[in-house]
Amino acid sequence: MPDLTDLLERLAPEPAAVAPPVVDELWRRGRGRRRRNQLLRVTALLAVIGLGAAALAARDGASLRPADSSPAASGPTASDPTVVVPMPTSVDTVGTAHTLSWQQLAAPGFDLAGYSTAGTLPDGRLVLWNGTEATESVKTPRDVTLAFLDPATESWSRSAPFPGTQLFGNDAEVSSGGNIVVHQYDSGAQVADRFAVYDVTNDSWTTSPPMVTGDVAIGWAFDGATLAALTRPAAAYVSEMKVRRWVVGSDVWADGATPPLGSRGWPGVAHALSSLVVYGGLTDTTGPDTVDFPQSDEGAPNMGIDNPPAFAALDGARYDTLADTWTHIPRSPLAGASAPVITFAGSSLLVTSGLLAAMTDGSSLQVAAYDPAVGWQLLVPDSVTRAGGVQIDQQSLVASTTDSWLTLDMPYDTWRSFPGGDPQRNWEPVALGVGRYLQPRLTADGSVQYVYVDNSVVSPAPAAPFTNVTEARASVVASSAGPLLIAPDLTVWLLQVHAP
Amino acid sequence: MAAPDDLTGFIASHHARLVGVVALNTGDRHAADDLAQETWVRLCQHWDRVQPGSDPWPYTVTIALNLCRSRWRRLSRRWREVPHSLDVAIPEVADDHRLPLLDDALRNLTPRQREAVVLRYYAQLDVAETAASMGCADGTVRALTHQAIASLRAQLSEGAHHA
Repeated sequence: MPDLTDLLERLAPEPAAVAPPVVDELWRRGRGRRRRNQLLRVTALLAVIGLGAAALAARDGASLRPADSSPAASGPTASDPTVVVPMPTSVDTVGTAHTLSWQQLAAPGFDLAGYSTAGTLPDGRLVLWNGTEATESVKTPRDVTLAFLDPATESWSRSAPFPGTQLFGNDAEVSSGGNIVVHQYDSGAQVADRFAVYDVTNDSWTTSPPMVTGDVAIGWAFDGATLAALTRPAAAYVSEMKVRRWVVGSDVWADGATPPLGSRGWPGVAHALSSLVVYGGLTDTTGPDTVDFPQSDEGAPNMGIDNPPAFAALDGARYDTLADTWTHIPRSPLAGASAPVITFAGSSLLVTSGLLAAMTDGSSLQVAAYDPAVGWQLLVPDSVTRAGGVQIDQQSLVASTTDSWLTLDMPYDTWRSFPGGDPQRNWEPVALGVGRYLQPRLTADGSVQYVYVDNSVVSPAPAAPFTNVTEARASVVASSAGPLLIAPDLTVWLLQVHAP
Repeated sequence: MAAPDDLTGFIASHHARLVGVVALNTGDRHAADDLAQETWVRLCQHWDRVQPGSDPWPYTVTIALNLCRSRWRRLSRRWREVPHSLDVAIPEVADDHRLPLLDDALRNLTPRQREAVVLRYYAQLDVAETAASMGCADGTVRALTHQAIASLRAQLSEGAHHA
């Protein structure tokens, strides 16, 4: 293909359209980050030594996750701590397929360009949010708002306008209690993080004051009255973490209890109502709950970092926003890894070990669950299959490999394989419930074929309402009425599923 | 605090191409600007590692590739979309229908195949440099490139027939 270079040159942004960088500013930021890293490394080492054995004391509470008014799924139930299962198995067509049909729903009477989905309210309404993009990425001025779609009545509504200033990132999420939390952050921590809470009942927004400039929030929990953010310095890859507490309606952030975990980088973080859990991550210092993590200087996952941390931590801690206390989570049976993926599954914590020390190893597909009453259970042992990344979709795990997608849902003991492995094309199966997925697939003629998977039964949907995938940009969203496809123009299609 | 002259010159001469590398890999023009900036900050942070007289470009591309992968991991935990088109202005060339087809065809490649093609044919890295950037063997780069070009050729040919 002799002219491929020429085609790529013309497909890429034209050089004249690329704004030149301010090199001295880049240099100042880069060298400043280097100096801070060196200083923080020494400081962190001294701090970890000072924390001592007190940080290691296990003080398990009765439950990791407080009671939630919304129906929660059951947690893992395996009693054998070393359940060995084959993996992965393929999805096979077994039994009679479902009958599927598309139904177009009513469109809203307002614009909501550039939206993303933020979750589902306890009453079943789907929440869309168009504030995700940073202001500088928005080509035309627009109102930033939340939109609500009730699939049962096909009715749309929207919130009062978002009152805050958009930053680089503006992530909205329906919290477990039914409120909607927006976390705002800057790409380089030059602007302080901040939060906003939307009260669904009263259609009102409350914005927080800015947090400390230079710190970034890596997790949060909101109990309905107090939002607790877990922060660390943006300039340090491995550092002590802190809790900052904001009582909604107040104009100050207050310090919370210090996490009993010492200095860490790339931990897994999850939250549900008043619980915020931190697990694993990398550290510079060895200890009773760490294992060696021998990264090469030029290797992933920590490319471009001076003296990357040499140890992976296998313990964690749970923070209670109501009591402002931390409870230690003991060492897990997982392999050491960076950026473990963690989520709540019922009252248990579900953990995959994350990125392994060498880039070519990818992510481990080990899975373990922790319940304070039971301890750790290794649900899926390691395998030769590696993932490029593991993500959480509702309470299911979805992993990408070179040539397939893998999914794992309750009882979390067997990965299942779906075709298509390109994560950037996003042919990923979207979780609709336990064992149920919708996956777009590309047919031989270039059209999109949606496939509904109900455990081992695979049912192809009729021709998709979108035929040109490059123009589709349709979100696949689970709703109480069934799977929804939502196009950028807010054309909404419901996939009606009729059991055989 | 002024940057060294050689670094200033290198960034000035390679910035547009770095934005192109990231845009072609991520399909997101806006993210490309941010990721290119972050790549330069990290290069400045580690400029001492670049040997005098050596070419910093392969090292720069390696940092950018890692940021692209991290971005996907971060985004993939937030929301999903059916694939979208590269958000860049495709030059208007009346007699060339291949550009939109190439945009589509690039997205049909696996991430590793796409990285190999972009690094070899756009970033102008040789096989050894591409292998070092991707963290794999030379033979893997050759195989990925061969597979990618075969796939691109088939898709462009098929697309031309449907045009």
